[in-house]
Amino acid sequence: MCAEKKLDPLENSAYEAVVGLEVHVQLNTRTKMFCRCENRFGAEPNTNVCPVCLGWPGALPYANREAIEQSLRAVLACGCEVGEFSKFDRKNYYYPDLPKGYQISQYDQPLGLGGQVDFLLDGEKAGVRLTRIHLEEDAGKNTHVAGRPVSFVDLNRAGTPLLEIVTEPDISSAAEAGAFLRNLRLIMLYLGVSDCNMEEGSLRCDVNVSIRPKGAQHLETRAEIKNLNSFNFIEKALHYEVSRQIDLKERGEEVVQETRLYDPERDETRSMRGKEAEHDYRYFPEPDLTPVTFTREQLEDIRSSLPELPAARLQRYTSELGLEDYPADLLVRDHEAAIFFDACIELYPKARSAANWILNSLKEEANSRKTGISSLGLEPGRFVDLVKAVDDGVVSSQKGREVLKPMLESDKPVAEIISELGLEQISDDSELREQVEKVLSEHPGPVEDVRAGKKNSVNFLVGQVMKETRGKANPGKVAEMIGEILSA
Amino acid sequence: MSIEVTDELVEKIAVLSRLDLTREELDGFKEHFEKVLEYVGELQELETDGVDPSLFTSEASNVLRSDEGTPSLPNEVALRPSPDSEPPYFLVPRIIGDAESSEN
Amino acid sequence: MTKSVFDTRDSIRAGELTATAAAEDALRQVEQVNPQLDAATEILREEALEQAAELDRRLESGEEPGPLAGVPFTVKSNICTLYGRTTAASRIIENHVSPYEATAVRRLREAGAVCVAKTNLDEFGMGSSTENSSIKITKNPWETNHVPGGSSGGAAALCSATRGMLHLGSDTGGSIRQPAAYCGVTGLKPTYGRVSRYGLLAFASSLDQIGPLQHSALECALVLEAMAGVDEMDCTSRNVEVKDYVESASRDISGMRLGIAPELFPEGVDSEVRERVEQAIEVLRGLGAEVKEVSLPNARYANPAYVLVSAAEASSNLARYDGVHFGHRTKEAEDLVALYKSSRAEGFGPEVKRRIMIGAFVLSSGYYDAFYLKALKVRKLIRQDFETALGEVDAVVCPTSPITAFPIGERMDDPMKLYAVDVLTVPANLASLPALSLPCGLSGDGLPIGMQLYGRAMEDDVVLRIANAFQSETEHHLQAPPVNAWGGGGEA
Repeated sequence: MCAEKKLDPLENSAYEAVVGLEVHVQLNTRTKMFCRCENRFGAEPNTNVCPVCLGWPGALPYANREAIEQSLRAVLACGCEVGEFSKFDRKNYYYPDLPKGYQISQYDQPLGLGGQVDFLLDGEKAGVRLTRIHLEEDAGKNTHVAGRPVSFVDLNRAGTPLLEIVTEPDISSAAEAGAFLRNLRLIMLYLGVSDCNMEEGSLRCDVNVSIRPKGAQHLETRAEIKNLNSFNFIEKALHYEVSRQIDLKERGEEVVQETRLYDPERDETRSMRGKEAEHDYRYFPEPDLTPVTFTREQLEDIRSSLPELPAARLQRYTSELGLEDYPADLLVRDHEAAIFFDACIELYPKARSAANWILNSLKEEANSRKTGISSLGLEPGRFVDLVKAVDDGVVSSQKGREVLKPMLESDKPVAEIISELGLEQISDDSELREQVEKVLSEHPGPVEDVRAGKKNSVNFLVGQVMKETRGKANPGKVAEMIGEILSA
Repeated sequence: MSIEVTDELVEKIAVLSRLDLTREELDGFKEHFEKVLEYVGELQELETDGVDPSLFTSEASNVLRSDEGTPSLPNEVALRPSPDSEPPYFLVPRIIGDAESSEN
Repeated sequence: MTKSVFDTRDSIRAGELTATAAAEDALRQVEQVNPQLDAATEILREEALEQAAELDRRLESGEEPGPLAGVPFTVKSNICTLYGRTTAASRIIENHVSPYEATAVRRLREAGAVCVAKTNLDEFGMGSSTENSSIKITKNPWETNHVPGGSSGGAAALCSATRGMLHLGSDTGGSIRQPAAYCGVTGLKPTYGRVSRYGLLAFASSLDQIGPLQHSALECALVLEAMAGVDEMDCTSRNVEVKDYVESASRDISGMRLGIAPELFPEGVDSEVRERVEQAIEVLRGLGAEVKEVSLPNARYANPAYVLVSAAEASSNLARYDGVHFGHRTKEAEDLVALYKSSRAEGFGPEVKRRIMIGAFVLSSGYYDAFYLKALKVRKLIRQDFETALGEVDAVVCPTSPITAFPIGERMDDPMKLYAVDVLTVPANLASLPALSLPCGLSGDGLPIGMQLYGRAMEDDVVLRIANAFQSETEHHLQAPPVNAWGGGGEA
């Protein structure tokens, strides 16, 4: 996003990159996938745990209906095919963050197959096909302390619901990967199934990368890069990995199929030594759970209850509400802003004014408080009162901004704040005329210039009136009045 | 399907099973594998094309729970059965490869 | 005291016996026979008496302490209890005290029953003789040089040699019924999903069920009634009405149709076993049952399919015993992989390792379809066979085991010989059906012979009812083994 643009290794290269993503989205259910522990980030280590997610002998999983429903919303929103039968399978491997020695996942009958996510890349329409979407349980977390020969294991995250979204190798650049992910993230936010907070790990991504001569159709050996928890890292890791693979090929060496880890401190990817090279997950149907089945009607019900997704919202903002592309896109990308905007225009249909005020003043306030619009606690009704006051000329646009701050700090009606601050525009024409005439008499030079046709001098005179009235005059009205008086 | 039970096969399975086995044990398992394969060999004579495998035991499906929580265990109870811990964590020998989490 | 569970229960309810006295008597019985039988892995004297005293306080104050108030019970050591170790007779969790309780145990405890002992088994339920226990080898009270059967050998031996207690076992391929047959007691493997598996240390999840081993079908009915029913901790437990099993088991069987499948009387069945079972069938005919032949063409493939399916699930279920979050961890491990390999190698016994290895093999890439998937297809055929047969009859009758209890050590040299003992019991697990073993006489050597009844899914009451009708007419189930806690010989 704001990362310095590194030179794209593919520019002027004889190679092209073939990239596929495995995106992990943590669902925001109240409880974990297979037990009744809280699904929450940030608790004391090993306190959101129970016999089930600790894998204690004799404990059994019990699937969370809400997690399956959230997954289906995501699956349908991404246009996947949903079979009438889906099941959970065990994926067997050993790792300290996996207390049962297997992960409950989905193998050959995932919730969703196929699908596609469309987005804009540099203003052009682009799309990435999905291979599948499946639901699984997340693993715990291992941490290390420098200088000690041990690792610490925290199982709070073990067993939380995780959606895995696998793409086809349709992506050919870091920018495209970024654009796809941002859009996917937005879809998940709109669906309300995840907070997609990359810092907290609720959106994670593994990247499969290979390169091939430009224009070739075949796929070459790929490397998988893990541990990418920011958009910035994904782009940097991709750049690094593509360069590395080009260098290998140029030297006549082969790319090895392996898992690599991105190290943000050194900005490089490293082979993950120590992992058993040979994987054999020995998937089989999870006998402790029942399969899940859906009727066409159930799926249709979910499909029809999906919220408006980003693409549809953008369309509505531009074609129905008449917003320009740019502000419409800004609103859509900020889900909270879009929700707030929609609430505002319910109350006050001047969409452009509302959008303008949200994108400029309100977002500024939110940004300065390092929070989102919804956390400001502002009622759309009060906000609309302010926009209306400006549109109606009760307060100037400039002074309106001064009203916003106290609005966020108290519940006082907007009108009261305006009057307490003495910011109402002079609405009495005779009072205003008095001020204008006073200024004209004090500045005979500019008055002459205006009469001679110098438009700039009108602005000067208006400025003087605004100064005299400490901004409480309506500048448009003042200009009009000056014109009237001087042409009389 | 006829399968030759090789040392490599038995060794590979021991690795997958995370069992540290002596040569003698491996040889014993190799012999056992051969016997079991012979015993289950008679299944091959049974024609099962077109038979739906019995993937799940009961006819039931969609046995799901509501998204409602129950209290979790206190940390000291969670760690109690553990062979090595340093509250609030479980402790293991340092994981090589520095992965924060296993793959999903 | 030589009495039934009903006597114990009724005496306590009537105020003629305190819970403490009942617990004392049960403990005395277990302590008396255990040095000879090695059936209990742990005798929980202190905890049991504490529980009993608490019950007596509640009884005295007029509280309703539950339908099984004061009745002592024992629990197989692969089922979680809050006191006593839950070790599955494995070194890998030899000191494991479960921080939580199995649903079946909780239900008995909440009904007022008092756990007095944990019982021995083949490690993780893998075996048919209780010789695969890492703790000790249990002996058959009828002939202490012989095995009690397995894997619930501890429960069966203890049940046989004592009176007036409940015994919980588990059955994955015959682990309740076969030891019940070898020890001359009545054992029920309920329909899959009838009793919650929560808190049962999994061997093969799609086959495991908890069930009772008792002196009579009516006692089994009583235990089942207390344990059965849907559980919010086990989604494979079925939400089907829990009947008044004691009442429904008490009805007569005239007009009931019994099936005999030649496939369940295969060549390997000992002639004495065959004779006793055939005589028992005549008794049932005499009680008004109609007997007809049915066909189970794929039953002969049940055991090979069982060997594959159970091993596959076991290899995964036992992955959690890796020395990280609980259980045995090796003293010397340089790194994580070594820790896993050594902890598991040190902790598991040879039979468990064999099953883990076979299971990992049949699930591994390249072999899944030929073995695991094939076995699941055969499983389907076997289920269909039973569906057809049980469409024609109400229950199928056959021997429980082809042979009687065998001498300790006789089958340890070759695991395959031991697997062969399960041929007549595994079909019930593969088909998820209720099946019950009940004594139907002794062999010439004085060893018990068991007859087995297979019923329709969720018709556990039907097999209980047939068994009860038989036991109302005969006295095989009342015969006492030479080693017993009441000094009785011959009849109890």
